Amino acid sequence: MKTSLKQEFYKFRHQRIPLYGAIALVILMLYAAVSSSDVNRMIIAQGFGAGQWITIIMITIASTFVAMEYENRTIMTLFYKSSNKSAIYFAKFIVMVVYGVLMLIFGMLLTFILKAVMVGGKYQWGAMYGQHSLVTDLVLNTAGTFIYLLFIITVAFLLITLIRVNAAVVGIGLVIIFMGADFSSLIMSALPHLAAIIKWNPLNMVFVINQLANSSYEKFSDLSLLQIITGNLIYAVIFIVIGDLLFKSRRV
Amino acid sequence: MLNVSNINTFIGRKKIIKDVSFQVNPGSIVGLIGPNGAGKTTIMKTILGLTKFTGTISVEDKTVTENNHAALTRVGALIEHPAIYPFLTGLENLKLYSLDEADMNKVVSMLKMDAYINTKSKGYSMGMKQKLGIAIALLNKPQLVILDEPMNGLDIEATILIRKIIKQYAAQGSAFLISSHVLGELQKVMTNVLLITEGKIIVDEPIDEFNRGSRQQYHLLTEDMPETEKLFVENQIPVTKSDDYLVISRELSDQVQDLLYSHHIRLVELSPQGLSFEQTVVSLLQQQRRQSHEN
Repeated sequence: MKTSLKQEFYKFRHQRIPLYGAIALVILMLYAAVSSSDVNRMIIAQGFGAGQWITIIMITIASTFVAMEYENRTIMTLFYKSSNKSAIYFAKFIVMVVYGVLMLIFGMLLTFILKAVMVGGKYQWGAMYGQHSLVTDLVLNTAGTFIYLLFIITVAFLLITLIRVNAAVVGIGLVIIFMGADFSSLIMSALPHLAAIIKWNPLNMVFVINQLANSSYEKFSDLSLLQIITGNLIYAVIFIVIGDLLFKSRRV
Repeated sequence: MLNVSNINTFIGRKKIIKDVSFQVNPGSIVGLIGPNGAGKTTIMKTILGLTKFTGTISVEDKTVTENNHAALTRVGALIEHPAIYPFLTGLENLKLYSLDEADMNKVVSMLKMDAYINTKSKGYSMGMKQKLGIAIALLNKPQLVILDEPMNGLDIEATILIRKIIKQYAAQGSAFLISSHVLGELQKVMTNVLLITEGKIIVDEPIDEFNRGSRQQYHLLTEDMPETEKLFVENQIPVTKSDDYLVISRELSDQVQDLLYSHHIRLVELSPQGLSFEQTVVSLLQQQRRQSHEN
């Protein structure tokens, strides 16, 4: 595991893609800041959409990070040099989680800068609004995004192991992120008698991004805070276990 | 060193490798030859624990299974295409697997890659990538090196260099299992032949024996052919005539030379005749196909 981790970190930090991910985040947050007619407290608390942008960036990067092994045919060398294929899979997962955390921290720093530039002293970080201060809301939204990142990275890994086509995985990932919540709400309202079961569907898990800071999202997800956090973590475990089994069993 | 015993490899439900057994000894260079689809790459992948198989494979008496590759610690391989990360330089690609920096630098200089080893490998030509793939296989003083079509994309100078390096490593005890479509190239380095077709090994022998088997006759020319013919009749040595030559069997060549020497008849030419290496391989494959059809 140690060797795999060392190798995966080595490969990741020698790529341009982590830098491109950070640049993309700057551009997307800037876009969110300048395109909104009124930079209000809510958009600041949501880190100028950082949660959503990081999720999109991460599904792309996570999928590419696995796909490159098949594209460059390095998977064969990785496999024969290691007795533990799972170690390779989990090392990649850990690298992605670490990168995700760094992106979240970077997103928070950018939020501080953008807020200072866009609205200056308006909306004090420590000023209470409802239950939380602005900075607490930002931290909670970031924590919510972190939980969803675990879910989305495992989804990306599972999908790329299954279909091996990077573009398709990114496409499916974007559908999950952008349309998953609406689709989930639609099914729950269309089938109210099954809502108790349907609310646990994976598309519903995206609400965790905002639900930590804003409990009113509970009415969209139909899950309590504890339920949605647990749901995300359980799905992450299921996806990573299935992904790992597929990763190990696919012919190279 | 490498011991492959009764292996069967399946892809889906299809049996690709059928009850294959062979050995590769330290210092030997084994050429794995066969037509497309014969199972050469599959055998190599199986040895590397990359496929499901039955039977046993061991390297230095340590067993290789699909999930235990501990025996492969000192095995290097280049299978199908060089496994290279394009965003890394050649040296960074090597560093990923190298356990000994001095050995890594030696491999780089030996393969004459110094000029470009610090540039990103995405800009490498096919030949440069191939050399890097071979360099990865030669890292960490391997006991066994498995090379699938190593001469692909190499120019003539690089081909000669690789040939020389393979012989050098073999002289130091590394064993090689090499497949190639360029039989002429393989013939120049290999010490043993493994001929495979339809997933079965049909020839497994040292190259000298293989060549001897295909060269059963010798053409003989002396300074005095009438006297030679007379001598052979007197000594009941069976000969046939072919143009200006007398044709003798390989087994009699030593006796014939002694006889001529004792009668002061000088040799002008004594040359082995028969099928070339390529012709012998093709002939054996055709023979095997005929047998398969008959069965």
